Amino acid sequence: MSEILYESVVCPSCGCLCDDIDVVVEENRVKSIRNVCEWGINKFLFTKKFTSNVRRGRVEKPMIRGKTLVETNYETAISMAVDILKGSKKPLIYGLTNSGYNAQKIALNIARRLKGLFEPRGAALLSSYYAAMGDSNFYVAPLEEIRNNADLIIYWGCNPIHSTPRHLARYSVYPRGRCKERGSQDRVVFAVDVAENEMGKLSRQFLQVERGTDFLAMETMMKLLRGESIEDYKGDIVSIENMVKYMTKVSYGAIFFGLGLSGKDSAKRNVENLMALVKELNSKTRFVILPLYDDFNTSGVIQLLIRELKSPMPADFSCDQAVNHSMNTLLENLHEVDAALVVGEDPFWSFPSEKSDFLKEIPMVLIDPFWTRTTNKCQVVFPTAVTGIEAEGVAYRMDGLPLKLKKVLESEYPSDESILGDIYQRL
Amino acid sequence: MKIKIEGGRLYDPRNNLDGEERDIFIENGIIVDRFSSADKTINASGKTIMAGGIDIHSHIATYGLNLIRGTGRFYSPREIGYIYAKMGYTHVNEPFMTQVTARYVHHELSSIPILDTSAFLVLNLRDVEAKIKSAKHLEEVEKIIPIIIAGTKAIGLKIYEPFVRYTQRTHILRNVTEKKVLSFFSSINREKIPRIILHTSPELFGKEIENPVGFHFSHVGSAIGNEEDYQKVLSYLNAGATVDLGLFDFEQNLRISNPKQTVGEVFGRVDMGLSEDIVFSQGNASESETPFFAFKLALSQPSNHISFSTDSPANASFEAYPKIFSWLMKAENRANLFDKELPDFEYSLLDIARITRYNPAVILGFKNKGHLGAEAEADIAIYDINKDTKPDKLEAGFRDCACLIKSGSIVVEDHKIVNDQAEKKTYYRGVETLDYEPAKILAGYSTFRFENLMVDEVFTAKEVKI
Amino acid sequence: MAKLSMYQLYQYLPKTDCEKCGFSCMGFANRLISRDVRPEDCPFLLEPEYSESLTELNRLLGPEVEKEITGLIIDQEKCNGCGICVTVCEVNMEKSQEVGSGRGPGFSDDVVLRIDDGKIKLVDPQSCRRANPSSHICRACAELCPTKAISLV
Ligand code: SF4
Ligand code: SF4
Ligand code: SF4
Ligand code: SF4
Repeated sequence: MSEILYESVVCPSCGCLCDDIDVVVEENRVKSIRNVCEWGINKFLFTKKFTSNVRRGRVEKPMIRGKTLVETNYETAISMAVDILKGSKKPLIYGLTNSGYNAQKIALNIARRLKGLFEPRGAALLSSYYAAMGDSNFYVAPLEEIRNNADLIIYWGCNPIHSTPRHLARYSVYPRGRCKERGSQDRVVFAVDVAENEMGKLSRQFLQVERGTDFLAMETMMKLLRGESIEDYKGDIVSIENMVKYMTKVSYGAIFFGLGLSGKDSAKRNVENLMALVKELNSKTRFVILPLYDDFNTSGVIQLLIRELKSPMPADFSCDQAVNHSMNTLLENLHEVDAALVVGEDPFWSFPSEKSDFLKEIPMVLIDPFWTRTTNKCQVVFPTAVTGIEAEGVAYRMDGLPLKLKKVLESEYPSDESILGDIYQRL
Repeated sequence: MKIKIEGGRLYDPRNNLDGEERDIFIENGIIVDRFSSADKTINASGKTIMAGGIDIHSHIATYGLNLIRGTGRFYSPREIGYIYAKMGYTHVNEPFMTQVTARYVHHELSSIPILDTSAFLVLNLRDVEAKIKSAKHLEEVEKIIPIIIAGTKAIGLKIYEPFVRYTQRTHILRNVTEKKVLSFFSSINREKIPRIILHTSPELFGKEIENPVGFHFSHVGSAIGNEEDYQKVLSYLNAGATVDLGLFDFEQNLRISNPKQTVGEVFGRVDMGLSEDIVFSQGNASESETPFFAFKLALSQPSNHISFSTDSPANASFEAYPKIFSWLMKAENRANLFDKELPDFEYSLLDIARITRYNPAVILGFKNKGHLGAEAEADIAIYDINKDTKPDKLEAGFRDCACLIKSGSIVVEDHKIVNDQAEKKTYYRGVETLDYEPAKILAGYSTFRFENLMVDEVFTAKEVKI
Repeated sequence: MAKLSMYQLYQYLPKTDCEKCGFSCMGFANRLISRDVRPEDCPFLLEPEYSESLTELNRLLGPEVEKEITGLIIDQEKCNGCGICVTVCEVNMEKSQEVGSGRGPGFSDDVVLRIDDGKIKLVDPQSCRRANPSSHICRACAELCPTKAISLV
């Protein structure tokens, strides 16, 4: 069989959505692939993140639970999934940040029809971000313009080298921009994190904060900006002073923040303080702030929620009046749900154990291409094609610009979009 | 389905129908001459029939608007589709789509139910700064622009800032003056690039435009600050330019403007790669003389060169159109708007059809829209008004059409939306054979590969190439 | 890969200073690091009793010895494919329109550095500035690599 070259494929791995991936396919396998980073290539080869020699196990057949999980045919699995969801008073529709936009849309419709709770992964952090957006006099820009103009880049609570490897080279520090023609020589980088990491090497200032106290550092920066006293701050005050001094001098700054700010008790405070800081900075100069999504289509589900419900918050359709945008996120109101439909997510890996223990008690339907820790705990499991590699789709980059995901490999499995569609039809 | 509309009075400038009573026959989404047996007959006797409204300039999917929407300050796509449909509109044109945001804009437009859509491509002149400095690249630009219009599925070219201006001192040599830009685009062959839309700002009136005939001045009313500007617009019109009006309402509106024209509370700013940010704010622009001149222009010269617009949501939200129609149609409705005297011209139903249907269709380049002749798209609005309707009932009549047919399917019946699944189309200006190669220079500074900048079908509704 | 030290390599040499290679053993070790010589250039190392030393030396020096003309030592294990080196390499930028603005080089662009299968690859060492004595000395890729996957001899 001959080789097929697919040029300019979009990498469906992280929120960078690099669109310059050239893939050579032979006998329906990726033979070689260019420009993709180490994280992305694992997606294309179906191997574990950062360990490209360990293949991930595919779920091969639809499965339902008798005593154990047993293989079954698609039809049976669909009816069982439909029965579970229909029988539920308030199902949870969860995950979806690794699905295409259309799949997300159908999932939202399922939640609406079933009067369920719709919650994309990572909502805790994002809800606070978007809520603060409303009164922060926001400043937004596509990544193009950040790259064209930014002279100060701040990474807060994230290590792009691990979570979004090409971010530095494509969008922020190193590329040459229209007004930053020497690339990284025209820019300064700051990083804030709980432990020294690779970012220390390339940052002019690396501020180390204690876990869960980011908001204190932000507060201190605010106070400095306003000329208030900062005596009670215990951390690295010298770095903070240097940073603030520089921040007010630049003409265009960009802050990228990540999951490091999503600490259990501090997420809301962290993000609110960060947004307040940005607001303060924006009264002096220009500062863009963007979350660094490590799932490839978190941005898409946010766009979708806003378009459909005029709010980016997780949606609770269980109350009869219009939609109740619960600011609480999943981790708080899990006890209300009595069934779950999980799409492309592994809550038994990502939830704290008291929450995932609760999930063991309720019937779950899972749509995921791979075996995960969650697979074994479910009533119904659907294998699916990997969106962006085995199925087409639309995904939104972290700055909210969409890209078309291509299909480069044939797959015997249906896409998550079509599985969700089949479920929706039967409700 | 074959639909027959009986007994209505038709207002259609293109076919010289000024309230004549005619039956309309619809088959396969198209208006046809006649057929014998209809599946459905709609009685429209005593009612006004116009083609579906075409909004030439309304920000409904501009990048950044979704964030405003997320704070509850703007309509959802569904609300947009419903409000427009109830007003008898079937097509909206988004006026601010850049090369980079094209996929975004189309994807958001495709999420609006019922309405056909199209969009102007705002060309960032920085992408062609080296080419527009002298006429020697004219041919190259004439070749590139149709390609990028077709590739981004745009309906026309818009120039938002007719200059290239860098604030960085090191880049000053790259600047291009308004004079150069305007003269360059004046001399473009109009066979190749039909009508170029200019974003009208007060500064623009200070500049000489050699050959206004090829330009369309958008929401011109937002920029006329005094009598002198006003005369200038009249002279453009007399020279063959076209405009859309940019009329005003007097409520607080969500404004999309540059920092200079910002009034009221600022919600957010978006950097679109232009020399100035786009600012979203809420405020009332009606303090100045500008609204007066906007209406004065509207009431002085209704012609084939004028289209209706409010730069929605800036000068007035699209929801206010019916109110503004009622002001245009009856002097007594607008008596209290200004201290100064407006011309006493009153728009007829035919004039309204002209500025909201026929003229926008011509400027956007639609042959089968904006009129009721055979072969036109079956986009038809039926209003419960006629030429004898009392002045105070006009607004309600336009706000709430009795019936709307979109692409041959009934959307509004008996003043209620009965179906929001009518076929939606994305109109764009195509080229015969699409070879991207010459246009690739435009993506030099993009973070996307050129192929991925182009708008694929997944982002649009059903595509119609004109 | 930790920076190789002269002493570390010296351990594996015959330490006879016979100068058959043209240097002392220590001098030979030094030139091994700068890739001016290969282990095989010491005749003793080819003898069976030194076979283990030879293997070890080759392992320490890494598989990239063929890139000796540039003096860039690449440790693919460390590389995460972030593409910073690809973006900052000026030769890459001259050779591909795509690279400067952060995009990966096009499929048919001939560049010096490229990310292949998720890892950095020096695809055209001849064009690297370091391979060309007349051009100024360049160390951009090695200096800016965040994972230290590229180092200089
Ligand atoms: S940075 Fe993200 S999108 Fe880009 S190649 Fe790596 S994993 Fe894929
Ligand atoms: S030939 Fe070998 S043993 Fe002799 S000096 Fe050189 S390295 Fe030492
Ligand atoms: S040393 Fe310089 S020229 Fe050679 S590959 Fe590295 S950056 Fe490019
Ligand atoms: S060698 Fe270094 S800079 Fe280059 S891709 Fe690998 S990790 Fe990134």
